[in-house]
Amino acid sequence: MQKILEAKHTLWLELFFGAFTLEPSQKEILLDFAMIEYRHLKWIAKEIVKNGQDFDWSREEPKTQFADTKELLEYLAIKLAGMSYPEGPLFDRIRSDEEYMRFRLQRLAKESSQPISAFSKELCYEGLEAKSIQTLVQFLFEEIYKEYELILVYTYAQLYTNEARLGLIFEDLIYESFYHLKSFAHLAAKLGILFVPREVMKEVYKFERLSTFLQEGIEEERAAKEQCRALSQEIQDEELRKFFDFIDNQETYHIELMQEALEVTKR
Amino acid sequence: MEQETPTIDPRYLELMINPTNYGEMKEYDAKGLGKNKETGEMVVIYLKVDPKTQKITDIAWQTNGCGTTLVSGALFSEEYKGKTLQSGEEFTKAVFEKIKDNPPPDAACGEVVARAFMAALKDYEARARGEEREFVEYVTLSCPVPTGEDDAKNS
Repeated sequence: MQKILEAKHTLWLELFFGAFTLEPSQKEILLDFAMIEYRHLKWIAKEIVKNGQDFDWSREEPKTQFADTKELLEYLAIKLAGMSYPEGPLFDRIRSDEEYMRFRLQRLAKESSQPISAFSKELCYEGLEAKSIQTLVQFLFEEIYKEYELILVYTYAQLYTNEARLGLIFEDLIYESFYHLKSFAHLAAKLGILFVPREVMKEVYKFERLSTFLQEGIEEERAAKEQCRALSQEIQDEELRKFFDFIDNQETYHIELMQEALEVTKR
Repeated sequence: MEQETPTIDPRYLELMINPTNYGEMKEYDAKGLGKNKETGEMVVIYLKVDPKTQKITDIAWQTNGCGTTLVSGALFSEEYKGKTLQSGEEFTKAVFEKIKDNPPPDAACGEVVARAFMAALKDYEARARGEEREFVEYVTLSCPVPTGEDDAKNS
């Protein structure tokens, strides 16, 4: 099961980050498929835990280099066709989902093909001067990894908690991180510096004490707020400034949620 | 507005995207953890060592840290690979001396990598004595949490 989980993890990331190389209508389809793959990943992990075993977030190396969008879509369709699962209701569902996804991807591959610029490292963003681009690049590198890390940490924690309130808080934080990851990946693709975040080390999510993790997490959220505020002050572009103010305010509520989780752990 | 070319070192950019020697090592001869209690930042280093020559034949590392830690980890791992354990230790001690003069966040990011290596050395020695336990070394330099005020002053 761990091997299936690793293949699924890779497929999720390939669909998710691949989406940002496509034109808007195709991008939305791939992002929806990526979310379905994430749910599969979580359900498989849940099965492992239910059987009294542990799992980790190891993965295969996601492929991101393609000549054009046609090659990417064909690759993903072939990858889906190659997935293999045991029998059972969960895997029947997964097989059915992936059969449909493969059909849609094959259709999309025939529609049109564009060259891929999201990984070009061109560092070009209309309306932004060099200093702001530099600050933005640094921010995106750190935060894309961080949001991915948070999704994995909260998913892992959620699968191991029997406390309903904690489970709901983790669920909220996962949704929030997905939105941030999507927004930051969109900016990174626009700048030509899209990348799949590095693997998350086990020591991060297999922590000894949830309370320590939450306390450190609150400090990280505070630091992220400050980074957003600094970016908002430095960047001249009105849309980006408002975006970073908006993210800053979202982080404030994350701190509330994490403090609430901390209270639950003290009970 | 006219687009200027950003001054981001391409090598730095590449290391942020594909850090050298990054990953987990399943079978290793030594493992060490470096931790920053203030920030929760961690680095784990795995070593494969030739028992005859004491040379580091392979190295892998991982971090949950920031961009500076990521680049430091990549560059340090390149330095460590091929060195003997003793010259790795000497290199690390020289790093501790040099980074004291760096700006505090950069210094702490470099130190957490170096601490992980020192912890791995202790683990290697302990394994030679037949002991098995986790070795953790903590960062001593301060890494201040960034504030909007400081950034405004620096800009």
